[in-house]
Amino acid sequence: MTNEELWGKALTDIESDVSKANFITWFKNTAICDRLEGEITVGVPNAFVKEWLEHKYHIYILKALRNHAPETRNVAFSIIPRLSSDATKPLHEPQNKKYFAEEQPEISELVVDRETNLNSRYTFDNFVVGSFNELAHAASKAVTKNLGTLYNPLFIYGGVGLGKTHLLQSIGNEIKKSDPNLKIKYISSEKFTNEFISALQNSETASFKEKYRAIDLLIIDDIQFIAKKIQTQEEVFHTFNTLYEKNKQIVFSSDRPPKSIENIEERLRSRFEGGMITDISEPEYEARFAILKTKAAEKNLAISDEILSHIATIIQSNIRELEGALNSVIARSNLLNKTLNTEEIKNFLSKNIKPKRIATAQQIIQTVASFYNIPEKHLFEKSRRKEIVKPRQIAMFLLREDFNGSYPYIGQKFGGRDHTTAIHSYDKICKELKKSEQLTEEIRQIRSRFYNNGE
Amino acid sequence: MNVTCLKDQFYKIITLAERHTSKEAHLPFLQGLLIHTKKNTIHVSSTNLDTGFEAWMPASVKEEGSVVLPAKSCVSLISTLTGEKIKIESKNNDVFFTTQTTSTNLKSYPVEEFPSFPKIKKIRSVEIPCENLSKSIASVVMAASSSEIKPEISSVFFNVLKNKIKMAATDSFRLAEKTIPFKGEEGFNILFPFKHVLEIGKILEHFNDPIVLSIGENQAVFSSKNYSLVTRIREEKFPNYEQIIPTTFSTEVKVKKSDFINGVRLASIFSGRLREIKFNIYPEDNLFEIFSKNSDIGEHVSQIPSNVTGERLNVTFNYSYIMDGISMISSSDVLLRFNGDSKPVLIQDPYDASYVYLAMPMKNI
Repeated sequence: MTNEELWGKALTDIESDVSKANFITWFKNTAICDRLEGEITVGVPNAFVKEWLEHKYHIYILKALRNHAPETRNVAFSIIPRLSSDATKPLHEPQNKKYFAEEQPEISELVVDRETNLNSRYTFDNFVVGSFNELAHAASKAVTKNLGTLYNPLFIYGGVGLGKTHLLQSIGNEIKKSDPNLKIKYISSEKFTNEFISALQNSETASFKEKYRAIDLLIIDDIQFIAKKIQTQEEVFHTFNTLYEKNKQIVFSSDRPPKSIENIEERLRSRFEGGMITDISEPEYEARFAILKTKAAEKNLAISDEILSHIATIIQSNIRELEGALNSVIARSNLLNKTLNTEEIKNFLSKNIKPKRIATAQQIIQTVASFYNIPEKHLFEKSRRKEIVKPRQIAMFLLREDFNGSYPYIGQKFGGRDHTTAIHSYDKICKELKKSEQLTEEIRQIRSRFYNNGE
Repeated sequence: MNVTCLKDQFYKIITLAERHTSKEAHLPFLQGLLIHTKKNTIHVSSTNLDTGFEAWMPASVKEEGSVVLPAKSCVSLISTLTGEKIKIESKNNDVFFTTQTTSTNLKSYPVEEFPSFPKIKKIRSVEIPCENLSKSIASVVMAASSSEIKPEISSVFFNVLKNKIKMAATDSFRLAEKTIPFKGEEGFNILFPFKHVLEIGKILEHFNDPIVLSIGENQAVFSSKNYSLVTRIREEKFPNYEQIIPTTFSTEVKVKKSDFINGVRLASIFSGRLREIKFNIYPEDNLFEIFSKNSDIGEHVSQIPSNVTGERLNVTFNYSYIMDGISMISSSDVLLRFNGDSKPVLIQDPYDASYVYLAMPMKNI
């Protein structure tokens, strides 16, 4: 039983024991945040709720939890600010703010050059290179030295928070430094779309086209968002062609390779693939550690390697989260005015950071089945039809890789197969992965589905 | 419970306490005021689970006890009562308010449902001088972002240094910083939700005494001899703002505050939906012009007598950002310091460097 399920059941019990008003006041925005050998920690949004639950409802809660998880020995409460209602409420940006976002720049934009949209903070100098991004980095560097001739277009893809934007901006900044006369434009595909739409509305398409076709280096971030926007795609296509013919450099980024961007025109896709495609994967431990060191040095912070190493261990996938965790540790130690020890940091981070990615066997199987659009039960049958075999092998592979299931367990799970079948499936997918880009992408998408659902 | 106290003073306390009750109708326990008497004082407390407030005052207590009353009815009642003194008496679930000429009976809520306040494990505490504190707080809080989307800027930053406290807030379009004198032993900084700080400002309007700020892990308490306020502490990090405040300027204008406010007000009548007004600055003629134009209404220009140095400049601002800044300056002159049409303007008191207000210009349209 997952923590959410357990808490959901316990809450149903508690609800019948206390008045409705009490229940809403005290149990809203609570969750189980830790469960270890019969010790359950319930996260509460603020100190008032903690005080009240500890003193008034401790017994009820313990009883309710024991009903569903008899091994429960003790319940503790811990304040988790992100549970508070103003943090969870769906918030809407005030309408009028959006209205004048175009005309009223923010102070933070001071570091952003309005002409080029480049933020001078992002340079190659503060970009940490590791095996996960060295190809992308080398390609970007090469582009700055052979603008428009070597890799055109350059297409960089990778997951969120891995440094695509940093790399893209670095290219722009480097070029700007070497030749300030060149026209550079960094733009997200969403902004491009908006600009294009407003040009259409104000019948200024001619000046829009003129503006984009006179550029020496065009960088479009998150190009995947032009999917389904047919007119924008056409505009990108023509802009691309004009620039490409004139040997002007174009750089794109996306969260997935061109092949996997759905709903874009074939002619555009083939152009994305016409230059150099390179990916940024998730950083390994050493790289994560190096990144933290660089960030800490940038901010002039004395922070021990032990702590950095700890943060690097906890946060595994995303560089943005890595920086966020570092920031919150600093804010915390500023507040308490002391250096935190590893234990304190562990406690603090476990409260503040999304739990490590966990998926249950059931979630994995469900996701695989729905991804390949086959009924779940087919995975367990003896069928050797091709369209069943592959998903089954992938499911076994994921159960091994992400769930750490033992081979006999996996075999058992899939209709009582032998453990050697599971081993065979795992090896087969491992081998395929090395050869087939298609498969790598499929597995990446499946993973992102079940991890995102699990959150 | 049986107690008699001064009405006006009691009213002051309960109106402050009402501000810390919950506005959500489905949380009835958070809409009550706990009135509690002990020895020769009467205590009033309230909480919305975000903040918790308690204030006390002297009273003549005949019988000790506690009751919880609906905050709204209680405040409306006391506000309309006349007379100097008021007697509060409880019998079972009824509470009787008696003055010389009136007698009222309010139904009370069960006392045991009223939330208890969390105990705070104090990590450190400092005493903040109260001189002009209410005004200082007001001059900073208004720059905070009212949207909770970015909690780190929907906040007021307190940077406590050994010889001063710097308070700062920004909504990313403007930024305000106020420095107040202070003597402390160690430096630290802390971030509060701006709403909580606003409440402190409100309380200070009524109780202008030095404040002791005690800081715990997630909570802080502002207290003085009449009250204590439990607030939340933000865990986010306030942006590194000090580097944004410019130290060199390309154009500087010194104007009389009243002239300037008048000029901005006039111009605001003719600004469009974006609230844009334009400053045209000509150093060679010592000329400072405020201009606005609206194709539906008309246009306006005022020339403000001023002292201009530096480069010529045309720059557009949202007038409400400018107004917010000037209105916080207490001297009769205002210094406007620019760095071109795309960098923020610094608004300052020419004779007092403790307050700094920055506002971003709009794109010239």
